[in-house]
Amino acid sequence: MKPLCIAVSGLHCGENPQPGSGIIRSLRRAWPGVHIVGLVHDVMESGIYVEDGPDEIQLMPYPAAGAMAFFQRLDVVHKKTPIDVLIPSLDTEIELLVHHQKDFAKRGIRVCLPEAISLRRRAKQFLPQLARNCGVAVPKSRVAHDALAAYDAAVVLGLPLLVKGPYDDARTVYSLPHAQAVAAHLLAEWGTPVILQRRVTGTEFNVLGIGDGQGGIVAQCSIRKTATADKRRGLGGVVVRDSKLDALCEALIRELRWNGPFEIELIQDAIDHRYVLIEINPRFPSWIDFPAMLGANFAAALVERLLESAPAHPLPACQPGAFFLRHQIEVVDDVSRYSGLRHDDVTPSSFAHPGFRLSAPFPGSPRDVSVH
Amino acid sequence: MTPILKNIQIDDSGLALNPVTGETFRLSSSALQLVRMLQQKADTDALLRHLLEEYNVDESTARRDLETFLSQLKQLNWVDVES
Repeated sequence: MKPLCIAVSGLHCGENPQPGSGIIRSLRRAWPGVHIVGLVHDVMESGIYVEDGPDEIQLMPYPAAGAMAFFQRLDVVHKKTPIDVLIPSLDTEIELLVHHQKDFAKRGIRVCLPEAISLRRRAKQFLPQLARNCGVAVPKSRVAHDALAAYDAAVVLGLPLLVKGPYDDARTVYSLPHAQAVAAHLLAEWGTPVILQRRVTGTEFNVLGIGDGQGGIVAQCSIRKTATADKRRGLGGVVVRDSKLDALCEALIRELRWNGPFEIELIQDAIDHRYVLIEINPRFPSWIDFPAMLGANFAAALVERLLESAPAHPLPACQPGAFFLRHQIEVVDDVSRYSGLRHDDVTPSSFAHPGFRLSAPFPGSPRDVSVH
Repeated sequence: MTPILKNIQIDDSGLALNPVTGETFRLSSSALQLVRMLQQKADTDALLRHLLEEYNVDESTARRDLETFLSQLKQLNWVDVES
């Protein structure tokens, strides 16, 4: 019998680790014989080279290249290696794919995505409205579509502030010119809008879960971040269990009728101890494999739900006190490994996007040379 | 007693975990005994009697130490202000 084939994206685990490698580790815990197709945008994605990483790697166009480029390339991959399940792990990718759920069904590829309206309602710029509907606190915030508007918003909100890109990146600013400069940088890097948010001081909590699309939560695991790097990225966490936190997350997911993986980020205000909603991410977090090591395998549960053939049994609750620390290692390979991963493999239409890199993938490696 | 104190998990070495916040604390042997008594709904008089019976201290010292200890627990929100 053909082994289960699951495609996973978001394999880079550098300064800003993506969830893909953790998802793959979790899937292998559940099904050691599973065939994993790693969908990457760049041969520098470190998860390509990890021991027990993907069985095969396929280059994909960046999401900004559009849906047509994505599906053209997916068809090539799917023809070579029929994919049963796809787990997209990048915000930008999910934003693209939610509009094309039927296109996956036509191809016989199972994928779990939220409705487009649910995805939009949890976007950073619409979060205050969602939070109001659910009776959840949010930091005062303003949306700005250019640097001057960001300056004006900073005047209204007061300092210090967090300036955030629409998908990623958050920087603390302490002066109005700094707010303007950071906004200009984020607009150039991530596009519009930027979100300016009053900084909330306190401890950060993250909740990982899977929504059933009907307003319920299949399973969830809450942690307190115990160590953070720049930009609040978590380097460690400990499992917590708080009925108030659970109720708050249930209210949000019920309101959104969220389908699929999510991560809710909150800060417990150091002064009034209220939970303040910061973000809702539409995917598994990078620490997805932590609960799997405790017996609650969220990635496998998602696949089981998608396959339908296997009943999704309830995940055990993670016990408070279990903790993780991020431990980074070097991965090693030879350049011959990526010689087969050239962008030439990707369909020509994806080259139309300027963000799709054509130059040599590694610094110091030979560049493509042509004779004019 | 607050719901938090009821749920505090303590091992025999005195390591206490607040499952709501994930915070851990190291309890001295005397603090361990008092927290366990509080979890079993002992009142302040019972705690004081315990200190006097188990430790070689006069009543005023025991009372002062107990007040200090309870104020620490109040700061942690483990016990109510009126406890």
